[in-house]
Amino acid sequence: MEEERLDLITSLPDEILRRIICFLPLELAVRTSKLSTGWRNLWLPPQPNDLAMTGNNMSEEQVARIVTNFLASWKELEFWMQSFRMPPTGGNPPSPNIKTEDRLILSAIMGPEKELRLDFSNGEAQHLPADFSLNLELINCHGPSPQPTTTTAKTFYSLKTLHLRSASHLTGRLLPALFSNCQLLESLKLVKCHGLQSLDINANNRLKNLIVVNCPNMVTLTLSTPNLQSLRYRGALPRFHLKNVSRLVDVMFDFKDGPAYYDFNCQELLSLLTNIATVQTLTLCDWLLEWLCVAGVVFRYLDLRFNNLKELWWIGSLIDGPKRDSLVCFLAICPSLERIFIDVDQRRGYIPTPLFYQWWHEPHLWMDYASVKAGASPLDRLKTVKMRGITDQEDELLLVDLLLKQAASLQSMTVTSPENENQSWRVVKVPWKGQYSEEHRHRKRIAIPSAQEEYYFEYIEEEEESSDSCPLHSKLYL
Amino acid sequence: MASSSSSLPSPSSSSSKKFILRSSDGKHFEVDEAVALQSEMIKQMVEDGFGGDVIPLLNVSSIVLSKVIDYCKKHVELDFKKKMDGDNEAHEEIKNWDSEYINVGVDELYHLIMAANYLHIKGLLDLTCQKVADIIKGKQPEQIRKIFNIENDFTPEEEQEIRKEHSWAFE
Repeated sequence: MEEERLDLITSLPDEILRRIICFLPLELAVRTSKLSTGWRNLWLPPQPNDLAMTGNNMSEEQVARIVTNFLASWKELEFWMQSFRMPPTGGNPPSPNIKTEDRLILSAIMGPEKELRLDFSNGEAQHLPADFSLNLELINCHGPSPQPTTTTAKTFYSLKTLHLRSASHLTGRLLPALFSNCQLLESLKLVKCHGLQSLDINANNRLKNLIVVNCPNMVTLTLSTPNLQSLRYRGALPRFHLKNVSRLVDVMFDFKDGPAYYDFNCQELLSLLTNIATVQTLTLCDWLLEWLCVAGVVFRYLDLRFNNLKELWWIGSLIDGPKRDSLVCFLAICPSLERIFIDVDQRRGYIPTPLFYQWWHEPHLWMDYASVKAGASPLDRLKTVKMRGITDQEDELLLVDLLLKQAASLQSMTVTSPENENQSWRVVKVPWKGQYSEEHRHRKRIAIPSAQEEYYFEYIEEEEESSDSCPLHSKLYL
Repeated sequence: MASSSSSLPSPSSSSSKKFILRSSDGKHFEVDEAVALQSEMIKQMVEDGFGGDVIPLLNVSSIVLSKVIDYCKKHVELDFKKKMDGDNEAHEEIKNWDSEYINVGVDELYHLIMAANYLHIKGLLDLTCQKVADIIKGKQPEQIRKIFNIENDFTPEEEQEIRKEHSWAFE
């Protein structure tokens, strides 16, 4: 029977659809607005508050008090959203050409699963942000805080997830008072906080996830987080002070903007790596390993071993000889590695390598590929290799060749070219017997001879790219 | 609808009162008072002094009603057990039974939601809404539309606008 299926779900009363949405985490709830016009505004609280302030020339203290009171108006609702506007900053009289629209200072969205998302200043970066520090003490304080903000802090006591975006020097100063009492906090995310120069978090056992992304002025990051399991950082390399991070499982260090300070120090970086040596999943960016190698670090001579590391993500703007070789050198201290993902994205900035005045390099960094290959360590547990976006075929082939040789139990190697991201190719090595094999006739394949002429590489078209198996680790907020 | 042949003593033994529920297609279901009173709507009717023998449920078909009665019976039984045996074991049993019970297709889910809403059975409404949320979780908008047959009626401009409005959620 040909029966037209009806969209029954959307025909449910709005109050029921809202109830359904209330069972979703905030982010997914917001995404339902994309389903159809009927869903567009469903996730919004019935009466979002929009407070507009009047009066110019408020002092910082006044602003602080108002914002604090504003946030304190949160009630135990399932969904809650407020935005807070202020007139343009006082002082200079506003230019007559510019329409004096209120500035959105803050929008706050609360989700049902104890999530709070605060977006300050509408995400616009200021031209010259004033520096500020943020110190969050997420541990039991002795006695109640003497500040008058206690009620607000109490309000947020039950928060599990806190997402702060575009906090500035002005609003950043309010944060400790607001959130230091969040002793149940499990996830903290800081995004695009311009001017944030130093972040210091002292947490209890609850905090498991920390994400700091694109805070361009970050210089020092101090963590004492005994149960932190996932740390993801993207931005310039700050000075890390990791005091208590022995439970880390998943670390992303994507220092895509290079070092945040000038005196690049190998020892400091090595002790950072030593601090996280127990991780199982690690993401590193291209220049880091290259600089270390060029500055004289010989990974295999170190005591440092990533014995638990199973999954390595290497992300960079390009692959060339030094980058490839430094990666291979690093693999020598990753004996348990099972999966390697090499992700090249030309949109990333290129970080040039400075001149280092040191002499004890890995010798092959300026020698030939043969010695790199000869010096490489076996990767007995490596099962999966995925490479994406490599533009230079010769570099790609050398890496393919090396990994195929070192990884005796490799199960799959796939390559995706930058031209067609949806098409991946499985790569196998086939001994050369005077002609190319006739197998896989039904699939598209390309044979590429290797330099040695004993074998050739065959690129076989993959039928369907299984995107699930390759999380877009490197794409996060790029 | 066969009456429950549970080995447990009837939780509502204190009152042997029976209610007859009539579905929209005219079928009669005899249930214990405790089972019927799982519905806040029926409870309200009784409190307001409804005196008839048969409670007409104009918005619920017999197929859906029998499924709803299954839910109410089981929960009366398990609530009783919870009182007798303590919390943990019964809690686990309720969870397992619920997850088995709610394993239904999208259309049936819709009718159950409507019935739970009409009859004001909070537990069943939460269970069904949670199920829809679970289906939504972890899926792309296109997949969700396909499952529920939702038509994407946005213009490309509107789609762009939504994406911009809450870009953080779509990153």
